[in-house]
Amino acid sequence: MHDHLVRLRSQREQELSRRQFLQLVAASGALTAAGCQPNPPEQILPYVKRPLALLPGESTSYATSLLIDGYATGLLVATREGRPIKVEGNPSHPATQGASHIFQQAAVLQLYDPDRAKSVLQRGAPATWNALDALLGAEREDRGERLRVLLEPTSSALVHRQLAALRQRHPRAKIAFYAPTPSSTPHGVSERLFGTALDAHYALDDAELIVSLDSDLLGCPYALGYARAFAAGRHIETPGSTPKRLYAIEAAMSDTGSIADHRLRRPSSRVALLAAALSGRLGLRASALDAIEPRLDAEERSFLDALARDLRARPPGRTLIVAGERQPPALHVLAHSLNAQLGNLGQGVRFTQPVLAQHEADQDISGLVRELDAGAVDRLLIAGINPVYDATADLNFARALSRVTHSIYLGLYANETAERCGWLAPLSHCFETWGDGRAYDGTLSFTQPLIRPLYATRSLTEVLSVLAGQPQIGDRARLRVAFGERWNEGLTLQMSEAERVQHERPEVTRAFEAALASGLVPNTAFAIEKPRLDRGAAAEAVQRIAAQPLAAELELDFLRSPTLHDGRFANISWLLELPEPSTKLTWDNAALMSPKTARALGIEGAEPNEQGEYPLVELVRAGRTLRVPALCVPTHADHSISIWLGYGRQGAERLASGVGVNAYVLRTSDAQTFASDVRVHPLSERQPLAITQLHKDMHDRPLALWTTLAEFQREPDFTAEHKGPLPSLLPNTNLPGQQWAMTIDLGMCTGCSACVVACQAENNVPVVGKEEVRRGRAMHWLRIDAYHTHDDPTRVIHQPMLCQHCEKAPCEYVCPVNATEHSPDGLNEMVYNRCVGTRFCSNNCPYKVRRFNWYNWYSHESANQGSVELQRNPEVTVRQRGVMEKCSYCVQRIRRAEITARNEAREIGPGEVVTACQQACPTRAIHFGSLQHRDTTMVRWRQLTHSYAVLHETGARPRTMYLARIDNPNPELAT
Amino acid sequence: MNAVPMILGAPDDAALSRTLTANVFRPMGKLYLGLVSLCLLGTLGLFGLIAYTFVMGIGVWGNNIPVAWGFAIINFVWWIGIGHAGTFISAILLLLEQSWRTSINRFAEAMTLFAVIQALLFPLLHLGRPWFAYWLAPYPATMHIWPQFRSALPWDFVAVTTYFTVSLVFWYLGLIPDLAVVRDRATTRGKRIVYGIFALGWRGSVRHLTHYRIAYGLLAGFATPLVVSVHSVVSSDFAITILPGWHSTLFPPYFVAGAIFSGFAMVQTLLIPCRRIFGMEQVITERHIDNIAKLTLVTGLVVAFSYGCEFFVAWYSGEWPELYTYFHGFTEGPNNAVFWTAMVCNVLVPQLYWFPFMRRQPVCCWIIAVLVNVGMWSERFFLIVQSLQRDYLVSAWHGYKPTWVDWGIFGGTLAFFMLLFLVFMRFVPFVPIMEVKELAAHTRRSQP
Repeated sequence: MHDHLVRLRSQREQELSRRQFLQLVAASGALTAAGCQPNPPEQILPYVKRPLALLPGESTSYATSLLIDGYATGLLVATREGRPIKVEGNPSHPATQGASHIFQQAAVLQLYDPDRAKSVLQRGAPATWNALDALLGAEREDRGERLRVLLEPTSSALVHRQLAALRQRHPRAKIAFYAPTPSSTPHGVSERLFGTALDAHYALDDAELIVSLDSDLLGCPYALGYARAFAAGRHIETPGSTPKRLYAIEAAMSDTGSIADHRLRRPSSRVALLAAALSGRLGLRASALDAIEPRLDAEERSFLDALARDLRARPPGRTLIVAGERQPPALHVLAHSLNAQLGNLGQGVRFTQPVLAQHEADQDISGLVRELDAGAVDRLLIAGINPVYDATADLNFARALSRVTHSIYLGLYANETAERCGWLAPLSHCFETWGDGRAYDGTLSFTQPLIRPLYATRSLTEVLSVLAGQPQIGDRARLRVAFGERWNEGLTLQMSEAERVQHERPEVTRAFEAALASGLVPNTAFAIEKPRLDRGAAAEAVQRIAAQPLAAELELDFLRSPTLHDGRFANISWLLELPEPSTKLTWDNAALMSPKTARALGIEGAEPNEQGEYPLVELVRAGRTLRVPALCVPTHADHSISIWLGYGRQGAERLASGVGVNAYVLRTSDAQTFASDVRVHPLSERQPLAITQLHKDMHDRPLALWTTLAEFQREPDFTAEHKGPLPSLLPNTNLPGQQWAMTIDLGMCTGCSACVVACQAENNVPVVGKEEVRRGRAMHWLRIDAYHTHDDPTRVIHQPMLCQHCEKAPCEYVCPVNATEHSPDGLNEMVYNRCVGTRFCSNNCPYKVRRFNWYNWYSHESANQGSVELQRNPEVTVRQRGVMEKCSYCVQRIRRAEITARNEAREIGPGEVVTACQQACPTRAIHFGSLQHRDTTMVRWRQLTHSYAVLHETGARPRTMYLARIDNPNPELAT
Repeated sequence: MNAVPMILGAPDDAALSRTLTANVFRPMGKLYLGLVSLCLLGTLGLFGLIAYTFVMGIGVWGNNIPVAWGFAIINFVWWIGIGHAGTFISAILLLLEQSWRTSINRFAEAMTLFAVIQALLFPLLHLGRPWFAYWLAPYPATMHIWPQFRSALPWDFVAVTTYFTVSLVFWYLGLIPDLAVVRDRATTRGKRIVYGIFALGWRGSVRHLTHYRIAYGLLAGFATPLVVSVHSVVSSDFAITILPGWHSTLFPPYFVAGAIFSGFAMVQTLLIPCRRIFGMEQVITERHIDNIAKLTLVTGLVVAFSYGCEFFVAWYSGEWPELYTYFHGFTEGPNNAVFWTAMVCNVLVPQLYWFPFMRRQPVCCWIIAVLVNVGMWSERFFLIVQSLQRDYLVSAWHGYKPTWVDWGIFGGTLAFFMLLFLVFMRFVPFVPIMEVKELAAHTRRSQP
C-alpha cells in the first residue's frame, strides 16, 4: 500500500489520470478513516448563562506585568472575547504609572507572532515535552557537576525560588545570568562605594538640575516614572515658572538628549574624562586631575565651568547626576560620589537592595564558555536569551555550544541559539503565564495569563521546576504557595491540591486575589538604604579615568536599538517600522556619524542620492568586518560612529531576518559598549534606507515653536500671531455640546514614540514594509516629527503630528463624495465606506497627516497576516484598499464613553475620554478632552500665552493646539 | 503672406472628391499596417496595465503621501488640454468666419475626440476604488447622498463628459455630408451599406443643407463656451486648494491658454506628417501651417505671461509658503529638471515663430510642435508634482518617482490615441469635402 502511494505520488508530479486520481482518493479516504479517532465525548454548551466576567462586545482589562530587562512593569491588558488586544500601563504601578513604553505596547503583537516557536523540537524534528522532561528531570549521579543553566537576569522571585530548588537538588550545578547589553548600574559600583551590592534609582521630582552623563534616563523602558517626573517639572504655565534644567553629554541623540537644555556632543569614551574634570571643579582633590585638565578643549571647559557653577548654586539635594549604564564603573563611582557631595544621596538618588539579584550567579558567561569549550558540560539549559547571536565575538559561543552533549533552548523563537541547540522548547509568552517580578524600586508585581498558551509552550518556572525535581502543580499554585509564606500559612509545593485548599487562610487568599487584581502588592518597594560612603572612592575613580589612554581619533559605539532593544523584539513589525526618534530610520540600522566625521573619513556624498541610497562603509574591528550604510546625523558627536545592536538577525524569525546588519560581531569582551580601535573604509556601493522624514531643517517656518525661558519672559505672547480668530468663508463648526480637542506640550515630548505604537495597536494601523516606507507610504496615523533649527542642527525638537481636526478643514470641502465630514462634536470624520480614493483631501491637507491604502495592506504585506490578525481591535474598521484614513481622535473611545454616559443618563465627565496616544504617553505631554470641560488641563493649556496652532495662517483652525517648547538654558552658556 | 492660398490650383469638384476620398479607397500600405500593428500592441499593453492596476491597486504607481496625484492627473490634464484645439478650430473659428479652418477642422476634431478618450481613462483609473466612480455623478442614490458640490471633482466629471458628448456630436454632424460622398463613390456593396447607414440618408438637398447649417451653427455655439469651461473647471481641481503652487485665481485663463497652446501643437504634430503622407498639400497648404503657428505663438505668449504673473504674485504676496514653492520648490527641488524643460519648451521655443520662415518650414514647425507638447506635459508635471513634493510641513516632504507602470500607461495612451487616429485616417475623409468644395467654388468665383 505504501509503495503504491509513493509511486502514485511520484507519478502525480508528471500527470494524474482520472483512474489514478480515483485510486488515490479511495486510498487516502480509507487511510483517513482508519487513522481517525472517534470524536471525544465532550459536550460544548451555548451561552445560556453568560459568565459574569465576560460581556461580549466589551473589553475587560486585567492587571499583569511584563518583565523588561528583568524588571517588572505593571500593565493593564484589555482583552476582547478572550483575546488580549491592547496594552496600557497600570496606573497604580510605580514602573509605568499608567503610561507605557513601545516595548510594552508591542508585547501584544509578539504574543501573536506567527513565527513563535510552537512545539518541542529535537534536532529540528518534532518531539514531546515528555521526552524533554525525561531528559531534564532525570536524576543525576554527579550532583549537577555537568549541568548548567544560562538565563536572563530577572527579578522574579518565583524563578529564583526554582533556581534555589535546583541548587538543592543539584548542588554542583552552576547558574549564569547574561544580558547582552547593560540596563542598570554596572557590577562592582556600589560594592566599591558602600561595600555592599545595592541598586541605584532616581527620584526626579525635587531635582532642579539634572546632569546626564551618557544616560538615557528619560527613555528607560522599565521606569517610565523618570520621564513623568522630569516632564512634570518641565511644563511651563507662566513666564514665572521655574522649570528643571537638564545637561546632557552623549555621543548619539537619545530621548534624554533631545529634551536637554544643553547637550554636549562627545564620544562616549570622553564622558568619564569630562565627569572627572567636573568633579575637580566641584572641589574634589585628586592629583590625577592635573593630568585631565589639559585634555579638555575650550568648549568643554566653558561647559563644565558653567555647569559646576550652576550645580554649586543649587541647594543641597536639589541636583542629580546620572551616569549611563553603558559607561564604565569608574564613572558611576564618580557620579555617585558627586551626588553624595551635592547632598543628593537619599534625595534624588536612592539606594535599595538589588532587584535583579544577579550576584547570586555562580559564574558569568565567559566562565560558562570556558567550561563548555573544555567539554565539562553535558546538559545546558538556555532560557530566553540569544547568546549565539549577541554574545561578544571573542567568546565564540556557537562553537562552545557545539561541545555540549544536550543543549536545550527555551525561548519564544527558533532563533540563532535555538538552531544550534539540540532541543528547542517553546516558551510561553509573558501574557500566557502566571508569574511575578519586582519593579525597579522593588515593588512586588504579578503576572497573570490573559489567554491560555496559544501553542504547546511552557513557562520558565515550569521548566525549571522539572529540572529541580519539584511537583508539577502549575504556576498559579506555586505563586499562591509563595505568597502565603509571608503569612506563615504553611503551604508547601508537595501538598496535594485538597491539602492546600484546606490550609489556605481566607484572608491570605483575599490579599492574594487583591494583589492579582491590582497587579502588585502595595508597600513592597524596597526600603531606601542609608549606606556609608567610602570617600576615597571618587579620587580612585578619577585616578582610573586619568589612566585611560587618550581617546582615539575614532570611536565605535554599540547602542541598544531604540526600537528593537537588543534584538529580542526584532520580529515585531510595529517596532521594525517605527521610525527611530531622532533619525526617523526604519527597517535598518546604519553607521551614524556627524557630517564632519563623514568628511574626515572621506565618505563621498554622504547625502543620499536621487534613489534615496546611502553610501556603504566597511567597519573593521578585531579582525571582523561589517558593511553598513553610513547615515549622517548632525546631532552626533564628532570622532565617533554609533551603530545599533539588534539587527542582522539570522534565526527563523521571518520579518527580522535580513533587516540591517549584526553589529554584535564587532563587539569583544573588552569593548562591549564602545571601542576605540575601529577602522572605516568608505565603499563605492550604496544601499537604500527607509527614512520617514527626509527633511529635518525647519526652514524658519513656524512649525515646532521653540524658545528659551529668557525670551519667553521678555515676550510672553510670542505665539500671538499663531492663534486667534481668522475670517473664513466656511460655515461655523463650533456647535453646542461636547467639542473634542487636543493640546500637546512640545516641552514635555521626548520623542519616545510610545504614542505611535499605541495608536497603531488601537487603530489597526497596518505596516507596509521597507520598500513602501521608502516610497513615502508609511501608514502611521500619528507620527513624531523631529526638527532642528536652521542655526543649530545638533539639537532636536519632537513634534507629535496627527490629524489636527481642523474646524475649517481644507480636506472636507475638496472631497467629491462627502467621505470626509465634520461631526457636530468637532471631529473631522473619515467615512471609509464612502471614500472612492481621489486623494484630493490629502493634497489639500497642509499637515499631510492623511494616509492612503495604496494596496490592501492586510493582504499585500505579509507582516499583517497570520495570527497577528488576532490582535486587531474589533471596534475599529480594517480599511480596504483604495480608501483614505487618518487619526480619528480615537472616535471609538469617544463613542463608547458616550454610550456609557447615555446609559447612565448623564453627561460625559471631564477626563472620561482618553485617546490611545494620550494614555501611552509617559510624560503626559498629550491631553485630550472636550472644550466644554473648561476646568481641565487640556483647556487650561490652550489658554496659556505660549499655546499656538501649527500653520495658523492657513485658516484651517486646527483643534489640536501645541504649547511651544521653552528651554531653560543656563544664561552663562546661552549664545 | 496672402500669397499662399488656402487651396493650391483650381481643382474642380470631381477632382476634389477624388483626392479627398482617396484615403478611404486606397488599399492599406505596409507602412500603415506596420503602424497600426505597433499601436495595437501598445493599446493592448495599455489595457493590460489598466487591468493590472485594477487588480493590484494604485500602489503599483509611484504616488505617495505627499505626492498623492502623479502621472494619472498629469496625463489627464495634458490630454484634455490637447483636446481643446479641435473644438477651438471648428467652433470658434467657424463663428469668427475664418475660412482657413475648413481643411483642417475635421482632423482637429478627431484629434480632440481621441485625446478626450485618453483623458477620460484617467479620472476613473486613478481612483482608489474605481468601481465606485459613479458616486461622483449626481444620480438619484437610494441613500439620498449627492456629490459634494463644493469640490471641483463632480464639476470636472460633468464638464469633461459634456465636452466629450458635444465634441462627438459636432464631429459626427460635420461628417454626414462627406459620408454620403463616400457612400456614393463606394466600390463595394458592403461599403455602400455601412457608409449609407452612417450618412443618415443625406442627399445634399437644399432642405437638408438648410437644417444642417442651422444645427451645425447651434452646436458651434454650444461648443464655444465649453472650450473655455472645461479647462477652467479642470484648473479648479487645483485652484480651489490651499496648496502653494495651486492656490491661484489665475488658473482658469492660464489653463485654457495652455490647453489651446498644447492643442495647436498637437494639431501641427499630426497634420504635418499626414499632409505629406496622404498627399494633401493641395488643400492643406503652408497657409494653414502658418496660421496654426501664429496661434501657437499667441497662446504661448499668454502662457508665458501667466507664468510671469504666478511668480510675480508669489513674490508680491510675501507669504513664505508661496515664496518657497515658486522660488525654491520649482526651481531647485527634486525633479526640477522638469520645471526647466517646461520653461524652455513653453516660453523660449515658441518665440521662434516670430520668424516667418520658421512658420512656413514644415519640419521646423513639427519640431517646435513636438517640443511644445513635451513642454506642456512638463508644465503639468511640475505644477502637480513639484507643488505637492514640498508644501507646508517640512517633515512631510518627499520626492516622487514614477514606476514602469506609470510610464507604461502613459505610453499606452499615446499608442491608443495613434491607433484611433490611424483608423480614422483610413475609414473617414479627414478633410471636409463639402466645405472644401465650397471654398474652392468661392476661390474659383473670386479668381477670374
